[in-house]
Amino acid sequence: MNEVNLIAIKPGQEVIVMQLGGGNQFLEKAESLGLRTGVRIKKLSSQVMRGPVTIQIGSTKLALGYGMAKKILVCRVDE
Amino acid sequence: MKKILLIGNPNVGKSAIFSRLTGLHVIAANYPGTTVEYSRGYLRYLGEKKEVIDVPGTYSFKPTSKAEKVATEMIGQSAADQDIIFVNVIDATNLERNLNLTLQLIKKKIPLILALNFWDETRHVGVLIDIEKLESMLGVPVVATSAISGEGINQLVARLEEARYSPFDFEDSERWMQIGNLLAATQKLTHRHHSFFERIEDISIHPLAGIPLAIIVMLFSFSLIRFIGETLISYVFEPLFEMAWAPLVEYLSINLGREGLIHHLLIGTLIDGHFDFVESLGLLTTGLYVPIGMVLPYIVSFYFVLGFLEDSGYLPRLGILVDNLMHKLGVHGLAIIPMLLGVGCNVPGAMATRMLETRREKFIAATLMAIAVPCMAQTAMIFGLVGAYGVRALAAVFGTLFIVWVILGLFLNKIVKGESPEIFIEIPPYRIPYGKALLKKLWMRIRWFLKEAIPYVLLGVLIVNVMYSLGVIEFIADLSKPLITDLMGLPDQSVAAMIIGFLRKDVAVGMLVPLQLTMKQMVIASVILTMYFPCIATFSVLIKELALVDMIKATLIMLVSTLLTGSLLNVLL
Repeated sequence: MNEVNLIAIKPGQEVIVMQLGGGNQFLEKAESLGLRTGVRIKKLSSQVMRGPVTIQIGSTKLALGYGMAKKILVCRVDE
Repeated sequence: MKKILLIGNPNVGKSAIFSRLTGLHVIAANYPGTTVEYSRGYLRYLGEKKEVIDVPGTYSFKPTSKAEKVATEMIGQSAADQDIIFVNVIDATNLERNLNLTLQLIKKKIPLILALNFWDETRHVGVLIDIEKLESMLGVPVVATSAISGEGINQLVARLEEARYSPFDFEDSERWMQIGNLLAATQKLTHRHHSFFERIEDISIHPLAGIPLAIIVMLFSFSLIRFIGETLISYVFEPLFEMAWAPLVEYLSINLGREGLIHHLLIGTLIDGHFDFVESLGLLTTGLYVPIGMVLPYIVSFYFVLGFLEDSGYLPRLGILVDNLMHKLGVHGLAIIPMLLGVGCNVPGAMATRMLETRREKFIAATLMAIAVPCMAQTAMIFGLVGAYGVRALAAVFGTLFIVWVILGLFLNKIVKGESPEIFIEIPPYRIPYGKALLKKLWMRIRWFLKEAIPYVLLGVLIVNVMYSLGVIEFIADLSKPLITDLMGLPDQSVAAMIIGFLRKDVAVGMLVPLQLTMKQMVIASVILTMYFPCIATFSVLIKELALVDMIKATLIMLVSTLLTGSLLNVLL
């Protein structure tokens, strides 16, 4: 299984979060929003010019900065 | 039980439940972080008054913004008090994430009751929740509510007394696993079709389609604000003043003998033998006509449109689209919300900067808003008075302010120390705004405007009269001549407007009319009046929000950028 970051995958793709990187504050907020390792997420879109990435976890939708998304390693779900 | 605290994640409808319980209305909107300060109200409960507190939403007890800090502190203080019960408001369409906070609350050993809000929506989105099962597993009462329609509120009130400590026991490290178990036992997801809203969703955050859509939404909103405002003025407020109020004022004016101190205070200066609603500067003429006849129609139209945008859930999406650009100005995309609120009135705009995380972001957002975002009261006057010089004059005023906003933002981003974190927000679902709630919110804001504006306008008009008769204005005009006249090319009398601008910017713009300014002078004066200083109401909120040191810095930036912009315009135009 190849791990890639959240930037590298296409919108519409569903992936499993393998690893989250970033500062403590980010990690804590991510955890409380349900973004944690092992969950299945769907990438919704990413804005041009290193803009925010939007994802969906269950029925929660989140937007996060490019730098944050880059530090999230995910693994593609086999169809 | 003596007190009830409403707590939960952001944007789950706590404020709507608060309004239902207390009959008091607080502003609710469809974006996380609408409530940045707690509100207090009372519920009649078994013949007794119980205090109800609407706490700002929080995702956890590790606060990341000022609003979350308020929440964490309130909950911390109240947890020790046995007499306080906690109503944990939950978005039923989003049970998993919401239960995360619930389990943390359970760990705090506090008397709990759960309100599964947005219950009516669960059916539409295909979520089935077994409430009784959830209640028995957690060991605390669980009530389904729809705060917007009022469904379930009576049941919630009836069961308040049953609030209790949850016997649910678990290791904190296993929290998500426990949530998984709870969900597996109580929630069923059914298949559903791609809804209409999801389609808009796809477009509105699409990197290419989203931006044209945003431009259309904004242009449409502003045209609508202008259209409703103009229509209200031409068909309601102007006829009202001209046909009903003017004859009364005329009658009074004649009976007062058209002169004397009282005539001067109430009616003001006569222009060509008649009073003028804008220029006379009397309490009964300008004092009422400016806030009610010219500004109120735009307040109504602006807040009507804003309320619609707020409740639909579009604003956070706009924040995501402009995030990139806003970062160049040193803030992230969500800062567009305080800016838009500031277009209505800078006071709530300044309060809303609390949704931003760091001191640097708050400072930049608040300073940019205070300098370059005119409030609707001032904008309405500019529309009415500068608009008379043609669309080009209006474009020059707002174009200049926009350029100042951008350049100043780029500059602040370079020089202000500290960090501006990346955007990290929850995107609320689209919702169809509920008519009654919209109207209530609009009415609240109108009432707030009337209460805040009219006394200050009257005071401002009074002070102008006193200062003119004491010769104070002449004196200051002489002093400030080098700046106002030599640098910016304005008549020295316009300093009177600047002085009154501390109190009310709308009256200040009105005071420019008798000066017979050229178009260029009118443009410069309008820009300067926006930039040089916030009104006193905004100023006092900013001191509280930014603390004194930052406010002094912001003030210096205001003065310098005003002088620069004013003199530049004088040279360029």
